This record gives sequence, structure tokens and C-alpha cells, in this order.
Amino acid sequence: MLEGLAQGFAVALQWHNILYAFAGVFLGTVLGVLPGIGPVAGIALLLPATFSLDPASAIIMMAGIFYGTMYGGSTTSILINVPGEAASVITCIDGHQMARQGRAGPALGIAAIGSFIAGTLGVVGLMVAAPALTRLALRFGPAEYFALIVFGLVVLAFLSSGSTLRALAMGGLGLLLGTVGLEPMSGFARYTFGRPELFDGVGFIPVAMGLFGLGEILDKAARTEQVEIVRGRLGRLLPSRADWARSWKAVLRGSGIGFFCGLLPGPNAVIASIVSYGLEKRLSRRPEEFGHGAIEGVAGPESANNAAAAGALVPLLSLGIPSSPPTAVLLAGFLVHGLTPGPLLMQQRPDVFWGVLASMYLGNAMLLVLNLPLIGLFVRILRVADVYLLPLIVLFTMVGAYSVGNSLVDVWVMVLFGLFGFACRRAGFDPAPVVLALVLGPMLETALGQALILSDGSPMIFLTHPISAALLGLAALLIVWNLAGGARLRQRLGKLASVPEGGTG
Amino acid sequence: MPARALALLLVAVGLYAAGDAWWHMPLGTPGMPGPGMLPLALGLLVAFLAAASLLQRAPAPAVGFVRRRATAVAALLVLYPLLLPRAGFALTTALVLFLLGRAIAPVPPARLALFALASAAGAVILFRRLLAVPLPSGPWGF
Repeated sequence: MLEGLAQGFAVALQWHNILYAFAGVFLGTVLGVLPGIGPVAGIALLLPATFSLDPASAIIMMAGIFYGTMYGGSTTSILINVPGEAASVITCIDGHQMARQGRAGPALGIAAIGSFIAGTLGVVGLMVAAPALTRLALRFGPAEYFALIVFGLVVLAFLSSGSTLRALAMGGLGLLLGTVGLEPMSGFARYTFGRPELFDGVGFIPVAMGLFGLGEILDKAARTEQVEIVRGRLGRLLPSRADWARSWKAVLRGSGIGFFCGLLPGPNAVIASIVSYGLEKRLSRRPEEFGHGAIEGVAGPESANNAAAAGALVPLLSLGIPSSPPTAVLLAGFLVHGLTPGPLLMQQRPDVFWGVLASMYLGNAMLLVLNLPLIGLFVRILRVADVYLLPLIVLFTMVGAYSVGNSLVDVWVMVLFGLFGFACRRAGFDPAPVVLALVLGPMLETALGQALILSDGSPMIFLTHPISAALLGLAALLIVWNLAGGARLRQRLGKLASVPEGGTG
Repeated sequence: MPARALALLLVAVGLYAAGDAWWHMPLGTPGMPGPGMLPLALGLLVAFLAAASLLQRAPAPAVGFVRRRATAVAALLVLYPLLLPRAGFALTTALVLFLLGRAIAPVPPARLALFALASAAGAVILFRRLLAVPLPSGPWGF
């Protein structure tokens, strides 16, 4: 492992990779600061900018955008009581109260420092867990992969905001969209309406940019409410000795909770922050202060959502299966650059695998150095009026979608899904399952086909393989539990997760 | 109401997908699934789940929503790809950015025009010149 890490640092410390890691975390933070633009839209919007880079640099930059958005999301939560991305919802509760009491500085400071500690500990966890899971994944056959994908989609639907039935329907729609194009085995054209542009399928990036980028812009433009930014001085940024005494345990606990929640499928960063907040309130000697500006209520959840970002990379890098919409967009990024994440990545492209891991240590340090002095700049970005900001984001999405394949078809796909994403938000349908299912659809079909061929058409293959049977059993249990009343827990989580990028974790 | 409309749309999409798979795609056998088998199953699943969601209580309609502004922005998003191959990147960008600004907030037109022209010029330099994205040119060559 240490040999791999040394190789990784040799890649990550090349000057151009340091630059791309910096660009990724900086742009990620800026996008995280903008309300509604979370990791999914952020990576999708900036993916076209990485097309000309070599694969290792591109993935380093995209990973930087991913965990950079987690840092940026807290700024809006604290200053304007609007989460920059879904996983910062819980930070609004005490973070904004602290800001109203004139303690915005320490709130932003502890969020940045906690995020740094948790992000770094998360990378250590990722470094240990990913190679171990990779060894297990090498034993996975098509039945296990099929069951894992079904399990992941059911968990995502279960934890999505709103109704599970609607979320499952949206997941089914995503899988259906994944069947558009030439079927890989026979070359049969499905739902292409004779258009050669659709032979390769519906582009994942334009769909994600539409659902999460344009959909959010439309929603923001259509809203009437105005947000109030906490004015005045931020105060000192570094937390006081008393703040530290109250926060350090919350940061460590949040790091552990976040990493383990990150391993689970679904909106893991959102859940991590909610679990962390609940735990801190329960363990606190002053639970009555929660909701009124308790610094632990910022330190724990902000640490948890950053550690979850590292945890979420474990299934992607070791199994090749994204567990949440942001990692689904990252997977698309890997594929665009001719890389297939999964058990073989570590053997075939150790420069990418270890290079990305090593760059995350650097990236987290950069974020800390960047965030504390630049908080003033991020506040100024927040004050740019929507009348200028939204048209500029539209411009970037249009050019971004066009540059995917230098084709107007991708722009049309993005606009269509932007309108659909807006309709989903208004109708209470969570668009997150569509994105994840669209990426997982072709993998699911391949795994299903291979498993059925292996078993001569007997579906019993999914029940006679222990891992597959366990995962499908768990998925079935979740559905039964939901029908039997588990909806109450899901609704509580869903209500908290139903923010700009509902449940995107 | 929007929830019901969207659920009905999903039912229609699911039924169309299942029907197309049933009538026009080889289904194969369980031991050798054809290209139509999964789309058929997924189409029926989407239609069933969306229809079942119609039986649930619809979520409360969103509040604080300006329909006219949303319609105008949506129309401008459609206008962009319509105009892009005909008028070219620079002109389309300047025009749509100006109109988007007008649709979002009442800002003085001169200030908005300056913003739109500067943004379009900046985008041409950044994307076409520096990043070499082959964005469409209009009849006037820009």
C-alpha cells in the first residue's frame, strides 16, 4: 500500500496535476457556494473542460470538484440559510443561528477545519478499504453485480425525498433510458427513431446537466422568495479555545460516521450529516443549545459530509459501481477518458488509482488554505445578483453540453431534461434516481444477460449465490418494510434531504 | 396536479416503451434474452409504479412560483439551440443572455445589453479561441 501511495504522490506532485487539483477544489468550492449547484451539476458542468487532459489529471480535477463542493456548501447554509448542496441542509440549523449571533466567522472556520480533518481521515479510510474491497470484488460474478445494482437502486429510492413509489418509477425510467441505442450483443437499435445520433444511447452528461443544472436554474428563476445574506463583519474565523473544546470530538465522530455512511448506496452524504447531528445532540451536555447556535451542530455534520465523499469513492474505485448520483457522474468522467473503474483499475492503471488518492490529501490541504482566506470572496460571489449569475450558468451549460460531442443533439437532450427536471421538482419527483439508473442500466443489462446465459435461463442463479441472494433479500425487505410503515423514517430523512439537489449526497 | 400529470406522463412513456419492445424487438428466451426483454420489463415496471403512485396523496403544490417567469426562461432555453445553428454562437449568446436577464429581473436594458455583449465576447474568446471548441458560426461568420 505504501509503495502504491508513493507512486500516487509521484503522480499527484507533478506540477500540472497540482494545478488541476487546485483548479478542481477551487471551482468545486465556488459551485458549492452557489445555492442549488451541488456536486452532480458541478462535475457535469465542468466535465467538458477536462476532455483535453490526460486521464489521471482529469480524474484528479473531477475528484477535486466533488469534494470541493462539499466544502463550499456550508458557506450558503451559514450565511443565507440556504444549503449550497443537499448534504449541507443540516448545517443551516445551527450555522445560520451562529451567523445571526455575529459568530459567522467561527461557524465558517470550524466547518472548513472540520471538513479538512474529516476529508483527510476519509482518504486514509479510502486507502485502506478500497484495495481490500477490490480483492473481494474480483470474486464477483454477473449475478452478484446484478444484485448489487438492484440493491443500490432500491436503497436510493427508499432514501430519496418524497414517495418511494415515485422514486422507484424514476429509477425505472433511468434504466429504460439506458436501453436506448444499439443493444451491445445483437446491435439491434432500440428507441432510436432512426436517428444515428441516438445509436450510442442517450448521453449521460447532457441528461445530468439538464436535470441538475438547467432544472435548478429554471426552479431558481421561477421562485419568488428573496434570500437575506447575513451582512456585517464575519468576525474572527479561527474558533476560540472554548469552541475547540466543544468541537473536536464532534469532528472525529463525524469523520467516522461520514465514512461508513459514504460506503452505503443512496444519498449517503445527506444521511451522514443527519446521523451526525442527531448523535451530537444526544451526546451533548447542552442539548437545549442545538437549534440556537451550537457549534457542535456545525462541526459534526460538516465533517460527516466530507468524510462521506471519500467513503462514496470506495464502491466506485473498487467495484466500479457508483453508489450515489455524484459518483455516477464521476463514473461517466472515467468512461469518457477511457478508464473503467473497478477491481482491475488498481492493477492496470495504478497511476490513476493511487494518483487520485494522493491528490486528495493535497486537495484537502489546499481547501483549508483556500477556504479560510477566501471566505470573503465566496460571500461576494453569493451577492452577485441572479439576473447576471443565472444567464452565465446557462451559457456554460449550453457550451458544456455542445462540447461533449460537438453536436446540437446533446444540447437538445440537455434542454429537454432541464424542462423535465424542473417539472420533477415542482411535482415532488426526485430526479436523482434517473441519473444513477441511467449509468447503471447498461451494466445491469450486461450482468443480467450474462447471469441468465450462465444458468441456462434459470433465475435461481440469483438465489443460489449467497452474496446475490443476501443483497436481493435486503432489497426485498426494504420494499416490504416501506410498505409496512418504514415510510415514517424515510419521510423524516426525505424531508431533510428535499433541498436543491434532493438527495444527491 | 403537477404530480398527477407527471405520473400520467410516466405511465404513457412506460406503456409506449413496453409496446414498442413487444411489437418491434426480438424478446429472445430466458436462457438467451433478446434486445426487447429488458425494455419490455422496464416499460411495464415504470407504467405500473407510476400508476400506483397516482393512488397516493399528491404532494402539496409548490408555493412562491411565478409561472410567467418560468415560462419565459423555459422558452429561452429552447430558443438557444434553435437559434444557434442559424444565427451563430456570438449573436445567439448575446441575444439569449439579454432576454434571460430581462425575464429574471427588471434591470435597466442598457446595463443588461452591456453585460450580454461582454459575456458573449468573453465566451467567444474563451471557448472558440482558447479552448478551440468548434461552436457554430452564423451567416456573418461569428
